[in-house]
Order: sequence, then structure tokens, then C-alpha cells
Amino acid sequence: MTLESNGAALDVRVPAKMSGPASTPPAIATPRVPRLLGTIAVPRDLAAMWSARDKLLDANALSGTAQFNSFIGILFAGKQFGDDVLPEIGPELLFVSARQEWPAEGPAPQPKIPAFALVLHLKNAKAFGPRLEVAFQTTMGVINADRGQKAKQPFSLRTEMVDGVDVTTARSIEEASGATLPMTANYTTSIAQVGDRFVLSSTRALCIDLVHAYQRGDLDAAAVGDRVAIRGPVAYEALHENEEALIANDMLEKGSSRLEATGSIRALMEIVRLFDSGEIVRVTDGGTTGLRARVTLRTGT
Amino acid sequence: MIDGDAKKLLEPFEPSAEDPWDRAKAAHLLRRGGFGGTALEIDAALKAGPEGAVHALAEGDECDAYRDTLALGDVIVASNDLESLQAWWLLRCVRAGRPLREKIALFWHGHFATSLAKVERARLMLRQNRLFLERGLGPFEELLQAVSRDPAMLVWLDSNDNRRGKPNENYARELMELFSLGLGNYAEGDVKEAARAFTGWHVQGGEFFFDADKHDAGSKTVFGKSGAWDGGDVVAMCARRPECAAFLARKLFEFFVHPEPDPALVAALGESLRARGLRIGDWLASLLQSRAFYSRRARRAVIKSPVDFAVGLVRVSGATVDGKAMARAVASMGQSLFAPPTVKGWDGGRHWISAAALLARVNFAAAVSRSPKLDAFGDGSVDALLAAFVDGPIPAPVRDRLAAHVAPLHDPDTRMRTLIRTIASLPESHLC
Repeated sequence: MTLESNGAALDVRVPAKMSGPASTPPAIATPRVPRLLGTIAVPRDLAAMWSARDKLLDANALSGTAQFNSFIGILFAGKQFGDDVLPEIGPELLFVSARQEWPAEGPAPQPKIPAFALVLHLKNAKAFGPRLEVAFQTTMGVINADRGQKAKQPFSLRTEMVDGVDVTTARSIEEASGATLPMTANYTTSIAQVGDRFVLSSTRALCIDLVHAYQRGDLDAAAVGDRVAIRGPVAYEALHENEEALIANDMLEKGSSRLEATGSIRALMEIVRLFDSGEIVRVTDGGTTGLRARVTLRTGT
Repeated sequence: MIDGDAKKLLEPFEPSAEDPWDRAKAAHLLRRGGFGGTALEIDAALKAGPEGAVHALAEGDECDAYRDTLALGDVIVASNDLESLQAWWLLRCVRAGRPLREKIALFWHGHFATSLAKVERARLMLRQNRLFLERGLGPFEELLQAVSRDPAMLVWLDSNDNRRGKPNENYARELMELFSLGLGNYAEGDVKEAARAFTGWHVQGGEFFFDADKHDAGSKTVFGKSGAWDGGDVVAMCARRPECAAFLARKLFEFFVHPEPDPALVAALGESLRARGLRIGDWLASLLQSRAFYSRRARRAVIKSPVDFAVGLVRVSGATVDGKAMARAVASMGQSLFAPPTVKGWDGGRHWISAAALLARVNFAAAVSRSPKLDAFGDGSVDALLAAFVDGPIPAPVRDRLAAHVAPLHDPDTRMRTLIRTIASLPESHLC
């Protein structure tokens, strides 16, 4: 462990027995988006993992994958998930989360859930991208049919052009009542394909921000290996805007008094407030594997 | 039973040297009119006397913990999460200083059974719950009028499908069958005509909305009376029929006193409720002070509902619990709050007891016994804990086996926790 002037670094390694051919995991670059809360980069060969699912999953989960496989057949016009779909997806998997922005005076949902997105790398983007787009549209169609049967409000699908890229958004047409929006207002599920990247986002805003970042090359330097990164100030704001919901949840889950719950949530927020950023990287080299963690304190704390 | 005997049973219980106002009676009142009492609460009820103790159940001091929990409602419903909503209500019951208000809200929730499963918006369920809490002890006709315009109820019984020329009978039928009169006290024609009166009583944007275009303003004949009745007129007609008082009085009596009252007693109960203008709080206060309430027949006559069992255990033990875990436990015991199984609510009584439900009760008791914080019970003896958790004596051999079970445990804390979970698994602990 190393203490630095503005933070600390921890490096923990254990010897690892490597099996199979040595291969270098791909480097993944993180897009710079406004209000970025954190990212998780996990290079994984999904097709290989699917092939080995009987070794990785228990019997219950395996029966679920069989159902999933047949549902995927509907979405991808008879294609097999393991043989036809997953091999089209490259190993660069990236999850991105960003705080949402709500108008200061207008209605907002409670709790305010941060937006999150999955960014996939497509090996044959030109051929496979449109298939993913149709799969998304079909999924929304199936969901709308189900909601219609249950007399629930459907989702409306709209496509718009952003930086020369089609962004398709499913938006609930549920009516808002009062000053608080329903929790579903946190979600405006969107997709976009930017070159060989396919973005599936919980919100239109994050999807558009990702489109901008990839189109303009507004990316941090690519890095190798599993990485989890979080930004302290944004995490603090996300906690702060949900303080009441967090206190209520603490009171329900711990049976605590309001005073106790407020104390523990504020203590958590104060700890988060100390940090500017944090990162954990899985490192594998020279016959060892381990974690390298680094936290940077906010200036002046 | 003859009428005179029935009326006598409704007279106030008068403590005497032979039949005094004692801890057992005070504890009985706190169990039925609330969710059970701690030793301190029993002491206070004993000091207040039968009348004062009943008054305190509805009008006593409310503590900050209850007020803070009650105030969470609007934050809780934003997530539209059933478990959070259930946990919120259960913790309110645990902390209530006026438990009769929560108890009557629970009664009305079973009576006007409405489920989030169909209503889907927790905000509407919250609004209905507040209605039961705030007006549950008021005049029944006012409550029934409010329920008839309650958005959750209107969604639950498909009121938006009730239109002029194409009436939907759901609400009119349940109004008569389940909410006010009971089967056999109305004719099929009354339902059909009443349904016309409720046409246009819709929900829009989560609020009651009278759609005049969809309302059938023509003449209807309900209970033999003709006129251009609207829903409010029909509700008033139902509430003012003598059958309504008898129907309600019986149901309330079975909830608070004992099941299957004699017909003469039901008639007397209905008469007394009617005489009080169907003011539920006034009438209930007299019922909870009546000879019937303290009679032998009323003791250990009710199988505790899952809410009664779980809330009572937490209240009396002073445990700190995870409200959501408690909600899951109560649901697995067979009572998923805000999600009753049908429009008839929960069957209750013997239906509360099944192998799975009993196992869930025992598991919950074990979880409570592991609470980081528990109250002390007198000298911590077997008898002290039995007095706290069980209504009345248990057979001597059972008591002796309990004592033998904990005899090897020398640590007072371990002994108390063991006793709590063991006593809670006794059959007597599921009766009140």
C-alpha cells in the first residue's frame, strides 16, 4: 500500500496458474460523458462463456438459458443465440453510468436513478447492427402486446438523428400526476449504433451523450483488463438527490428511527464526499494475478 | 339466547370483587384493540380502567417514531414497490401509540379489499390506506361514500368500464354483497339499477372524475324506490338500510370479539350500531367495554392473523426488525398487505393456519429472538415471558417442559431469546 499526497494506492497480488493459450485482453477506452458516475470494463468472450455454460451455471439457471435461447430465436429471426448472435459481439464490454439531470423547477421522479448503458463492440457492424435494432423493436412490440393485454400504457418508439446516427427511444406514455413523476420516468430506453459500437442505454440522454463521445472521439486512453471506476463528486450528488429515499429505505430495512437513519446516510455521504475518484483494476502478469486499487481524495479534504 | 341476554352482553363490563379489572383483561384489550401491549402499556391500561384504556387506544399519545414512519408514505410510494409499502404499514403498526386506528384500518383493508396487483399505482393504495386510517372510526356512511370515489377502488372494480348504455356491475354488486348489506339482502335487479347510477364514476390522472357524458341520468329503481339516482344516492340507501348495520356489526364483532355470535346477539349488535348512527368509533368503544368483550367466550377465541402475530411479537418483545423482511414473513404466513387474494379479502380464522404458515410463523419468531435489541421481561422467568406473550395460562406440563428446556441455559440473554422463540411456537401463542 502506498500513501500519496492526494490519495492512496493498494496493490495485492497472488500467484496464478494460467491455463490455455496466453492471449492479451483487448484495451477498452472509456467515453467522456457529462455527469459520468462510473464505468465497468470487462473484456469477456461471451460466445466462449455461453459454450461453457453447463460448467458455469447450476441446473436451474441452465433451464433458464434454454428458455432465453428460444426467446432469442424470435428476436433474431430463428438465429441461435450461442452460434449466431454471441459470436458477432466482440469481447470489449463496457458499462457506463451517469447521473441524470432533471429540471430544477419541473417534476422529477423519486428516487432519481442514475442512467446506465451497455456498450458492445460488433465484429460485423454493418450486417449485425440492423439485426440488433430489429431485435430491440421486436422486444418493445412484445412488451407492448403484453402491456396491452394487462390494460397498461404502452411504450412509444421514436427514432431521431444525432450526429448522423439513428437513436431509437422507447418512451412510456403514462400520464404524470402531481409534482412527482412515476419511477418509470427514470427510463427512456434507447439504442444507437456508432460505427462498430452498439449502445443500449436506460435513457435517451445518456445514449445521445455516448453517441457524441464516440462520434467525436472524446474518449479516455484505452486500458487493458477488468476495471471499475467511480467518480466521487457525482456519486455524492446521486446520493444527495436521493437522500430522503435512502433515509426511508434505511428506516424500513433496519427498523431504525429517523434520527439514526439520517445519521448513517449522512455519514456515508460524507465519506463519499472525501473522494475525487476511485479505481480497481484486475491485473494479471508474470504468473501473478491481483487487484490494484487507487483512490484520489478531493483537493482540500 | 334471548334478546334480553343479548342486550345484557352489550352492557358495559363493571369490575367487581369477583370479576375485577385486572392485568389479564387489560392485556386482552390491548391485543384485540391493538396489537398487544408491553408490561408498561398493560400497567397504564390497568391504571386507566376499562373506559380510559379504550379511549387511549384511539386517542392516546403518538410517539415521534410513529409520526416519522407515517410521514414516509409519499417517499415510499414513489418506488411503487409492494414490499416497501407493506413494510411501512407493518412498522406503523409496531410503533402506533393509538393502535386502534391502525387496527381498524386493517379491518377496512380486509373489508374493502383492494390489491396493488391490479391497481398498480402504490400512490393510489397509499391514498386508500390513509382514508381507512383517518376516517376508519368515523361514520360508516361517510367512509362508504369516500370509498365509492376512491381511485384505487374504482380501478380495482373496473369503474372506467361503467358507461351509460353499457353498465359494468362490479362496483354496484360488491357495494351490496361485500361492503354494506351481505348476500340475501338485495335483489339482482337492485344491482343492475345501482350499476346504472354509478355510470360515469371514473378515474382520470389518478383522481376521481365524474364523466357526465358517460353517466346514465335516467330514472332507476333501487330497493323499490324510483328516481334519477346517482352513485351517492345508492351509497346512502345502502348505508341506511337496517341490514347494513347488522351486516357490519356482525363482521366487526367477529374481528374484535369472537366468531359466530348468536343470531339474537347479531340483531342486538345491529340495533346498537344503528342507534349510534353507524359511527364506528363510538360503537366500537362501547363494544370494547362490553360484557361480551370480556366474557369467557371471547378469550382465546380468535386465531391471530399474520399481522397480529408478527406485529404483536415485535411490539411486545421490543425487537428491532428489518421491515421488508417482516413484510416477506407476513406474506409467507398468508397475509400480503395491499395484495389481498380476492375482492373478499382474507378468509381468516382457521384459514390462517397451515403447515407452511406455521413454519413461517416459527421462523419469524426465531428471527425476532435474534434481534440486537430486546426488552427485559420482569425477572426473565418462564412465567414472566409466558405472561408477556400468551393470553391466559398454559397447561402445567407444557410450562414445566419449557422450564426444563431453558434450565441448562445460564446466560440470561440466551435464556430469554430461547424462551421467546419457543413460546412463540406454542399453539396458545397463535390465539388471542
